Parts: sequence; C-alpha cells; structure tokens
Amino acid sequence: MSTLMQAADDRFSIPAQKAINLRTAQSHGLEIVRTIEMADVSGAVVLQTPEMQELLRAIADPNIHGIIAKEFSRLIRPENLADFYLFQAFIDTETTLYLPEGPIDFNTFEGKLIGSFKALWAGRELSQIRERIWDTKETKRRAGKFGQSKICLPYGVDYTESRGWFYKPEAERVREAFRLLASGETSYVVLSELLGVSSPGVKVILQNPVYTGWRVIDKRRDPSPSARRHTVDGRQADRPKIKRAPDEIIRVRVIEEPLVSEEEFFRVQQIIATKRQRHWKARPDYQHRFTYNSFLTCAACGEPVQTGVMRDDYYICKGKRKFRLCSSSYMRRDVLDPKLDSLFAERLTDEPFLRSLAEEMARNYDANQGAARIVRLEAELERLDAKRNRAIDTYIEGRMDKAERDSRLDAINLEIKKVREMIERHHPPVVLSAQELSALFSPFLEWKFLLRDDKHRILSTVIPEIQVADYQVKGLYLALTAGSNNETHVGTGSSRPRA
Amino acid sequence: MSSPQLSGLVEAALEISRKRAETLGQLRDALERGDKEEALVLAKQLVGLSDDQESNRVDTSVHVDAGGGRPF
Repeated sequence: MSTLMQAADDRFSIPAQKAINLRTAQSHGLEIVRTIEMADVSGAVVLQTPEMQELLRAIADPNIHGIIAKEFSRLIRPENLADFYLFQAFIDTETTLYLPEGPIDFNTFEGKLIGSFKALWAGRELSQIRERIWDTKETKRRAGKFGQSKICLPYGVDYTESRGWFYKPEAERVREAFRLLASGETSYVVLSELLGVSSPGVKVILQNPVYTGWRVIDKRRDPSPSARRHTVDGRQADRPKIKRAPDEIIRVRVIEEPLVSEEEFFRVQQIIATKRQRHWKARPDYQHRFTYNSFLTCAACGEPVQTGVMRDDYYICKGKRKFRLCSSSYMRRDVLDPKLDSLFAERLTDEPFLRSLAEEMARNYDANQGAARIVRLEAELERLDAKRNRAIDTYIEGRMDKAERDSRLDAINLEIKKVREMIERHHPPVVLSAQELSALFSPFLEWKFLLRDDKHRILSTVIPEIQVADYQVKGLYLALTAGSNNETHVGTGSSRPRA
Repeated sequence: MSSPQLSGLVEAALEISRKRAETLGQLRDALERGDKEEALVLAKQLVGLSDDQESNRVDTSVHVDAGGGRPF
C-alpha cells in the first residue's frame, strides 16, 4: 500500500489483494506458506523495507517456489537501475513471480525481457503520476491557492477554499517576535518560548515573507532519483529541498493586510543576517561581561575583534590571535569599554538624533493601530481563557493531579499576561507627554550607567560597526536611516563635534 | 514614513527606561524598609554594575587567584 488511506480503500485494500492472490495461487496449484504485508510504502522504496528484506531471505529457502503479487508495481517501481538487483535475487534463487495475468520466470530470456519491461513501465507510471500531481499543485500555487496538507501551512496562518489565506490569532505572537527582535531582543531562546517552537524554528518563521502578505516559494523538493530518502523501516522520508530556478520562483500576494510591514520584515532580515555573520550569541542564562563584543572590527587589518580571557578580559583582533598577521595590541576590556561608552554617550545624545527619535515616537502614536490586530489578540485571549477552563475542568473531573494543574495554569496565565501586554501596547495614551519623552531619552543620557545587557540591546537595534585598534577608535557606523548618526566617522579621535 | 530601525530603538529605549523606573521604585521601597543589602544591590544595578561584578580595577600582577582556571 502506498498510503494508509489506500489501505482503507476497498478497491486496493489488503483483503482485496489477498483475494486476488488466492485466486492466482489456486489457478497455478500453489500453496501460500507465508504472507508479507506492507502498508504506507510506495513501490519505489519497497526494496528498503524490512518486509522486503524478509522476503529476500525467504526466497533463499529451496522449498519456496515463487512469489504471488496482485500486480508488478506492487513489487517494485524502479527509479534507477540499482533497483533491478531484486531480479538477480529471483534468478539466483530460481524464484518465479506469479501475477494474475501469468507467471514470470526470470531464468528465461522471455521472463527477463517481460520482467524488465514491466518494471520500466511501472517506473514510468510513477514518474507520470508525480508529474501530474506536481502540475496540479503548481497551478494552485501560482493562483495563490494552497494544494498541500495543512501541516505545510506557516505558523499562525491558515487557508480555506472559501476564505483564502488569513492570519490566525496566534499570528500575533509572530508579530511580537518581530517587534522583540527589531527592538534588540536577539535571543532565539527567548523568542522560541514566546512562539512555543524550537530555536531554529524561530529563524524559519521570521524569514517567511508570508507575514508581509506575500507567499514566496523559492524552493522545491529535489525530484532527482538520487534525492530519494527513506526512514529506517523503509518508509518514505522527505526529499531535501533545493533552490528553484529564477523563472520557477512563485511570488503571489495572498493577504491584503499584512502582519508586519515590508520595512519591518527587511529590518529583521538584516538583524538575522548580522547575527549570523557576526556570531551574535545571546544566551539568557549566561552573564556576559563585554559590552561591545561582536560590534568591533580591527582598524589595522579589518578582521573582527574577538574577546578573550587571559587573567583579565581583553578584546583581541582575530587577525592577530588566529592568523598572527596583525600587529595591533590586545585591548583591556576595562579600558576600552569606558572609552566606547563615552563615545556612544555623546553620539546617542546629539540633538538631531534625539529629535528623530521623538519624531518616530510621535509617528507611532499617530499610526493606525489596526483593528484586525486587536480582533486577533482578543480572539487569542478567548482561546487561552477556554484552555484555562479546560485545564480546571480536567482537574475537577479527576483526570489531572494538583501539581500538573498548577504547572499548566502557570504556563497558561503567563501566556495570557503576554497577550494582555500586547493589547495594552496597541492602546497607548492619546497625547505624547514630556514625561514620555523623558522616558525615551533617559537611557541615552544615562548610557554610562546602563547594565551591559541594556546597552547591548540598544546596540543590537542600531547595529554599529566600530573600527578600533590600539585603543584608538578610527570609525563608527550606525545602521540607521534617519537622523544624523548614520555616517561613517573617520579620524583618530573618538568623538565628533556636537550639532 | 516610519523607520523600522528607529521604531525598534524607541521600543528598546522605552523598555529599558521602564525597567530602570521599576528598579528605582524598588530601591526607594528598600530604603524605606531599611533593607540596606537590597538597596545596595539595586543601586549597583542603577549605575550599571551587576551584583557580582567587580567595581574596581585590579592590577594583573596581584590578580593571581582569578587566573587559576583560565587558559593562560
């Protein structure tokens, strides 16, 4: 059986195949001594199954005269010539294959010819089936429809024929993950707790453009025979994904009101790329000591500046440490960090920069907060309330002990708290006050007094590139599109004149 | 036109500011309670020192013990 669904179908069910095989046995005067059943196995990977291995061992028994099958494709649908080794096993053991239309003896020329031809035909049939299915799915994809199993849907996204594509209430968690990453929370572990997926899964979710309303399909399963994969018990496994050719890439707008804007999406992609490129490691359970690690490059050779511990903490050029090519000196953390603190305290408090921040804050206040977003958040709150009630009911019915109840309720209450915070964030005060502006500016004015993690969070949003060697800051670049601080500052000094 | 870079920075700054205001409130409560130990921990946080972080520089020549488990 190719699938368990087929096994339940009357026409091709195992009982139906058994009945046909019994008739074949009777017509040739054979006695069936052993039956081997395989379900959820395609004819293409049947050779890898333990059942087929058992069959190969069985036909080595001289008392076994032949094998009965409903049709040739039940035995194999060869995708490559290596699959033909089964025929050699039939020849070596002098086994005959009995089909309803007649026996095939592989020890004869006619048997070899007919067997090989039938095998090739079965393989061709499989290719045609695949091509037809692929064409149908591609047509659907290009039309902005969905032609796969629900398990293939992105996190927080659903599709129905009547409604098309839409975001589910839990998609708001994805929005929150985008917001957190863009605001300097670069730990995938923290984001994975928010989304309830693995850390690598977070990156996959945040890189999916479906949250900007676009469905982009730029990969496909490798259709080549060599890409065939199977599980340990011979069942079909996923083929690896390969990039599509440029003319095969599908881009369709599927949701009109996006979850995140394209600007926000690309900003997050930039952070993800920088995180990978500069090896940002953000482990919430580890206390970091270096404030500017992963933002420094050597002004002498251009290699990244790494951190090291040799009795004390040092910043060290990779070119010196690893390749022994750079002549720059080691820089003590407790000397360089305060120097960079002074530089940033000055750069992040100049008037144009603070003005651009205030303007951005005012824009956020004026922006339409999105009625659909509020509806989704409230639906998510309702879902969590229902989940909490179900947990309480389960406890009252005696199907859960007190400890498990408390643990589940704690987890649900935490989720409810997070969703409520998200709702509150969508309802800010109507007027931007001096007190709020003061709150906005204070971290920059108090830069030297911030904890290392808070400084690092702000640095992660501006993604600075600092060129330094021998305690001299030669350049500073901030990846900001507004304000006056997005220029590369070159010079031996560590500061520039105030505006 | 809103800038995602600045928007993220605003979010981060407001979050940090809120946390610092909370810590300041806790410091005030601790001082009112007369809990000097707690007040010291919170005050250190407000000036950028984590609780177990050294607040003074130590010359490497006298900083022998700290090097015990380190590579050099």
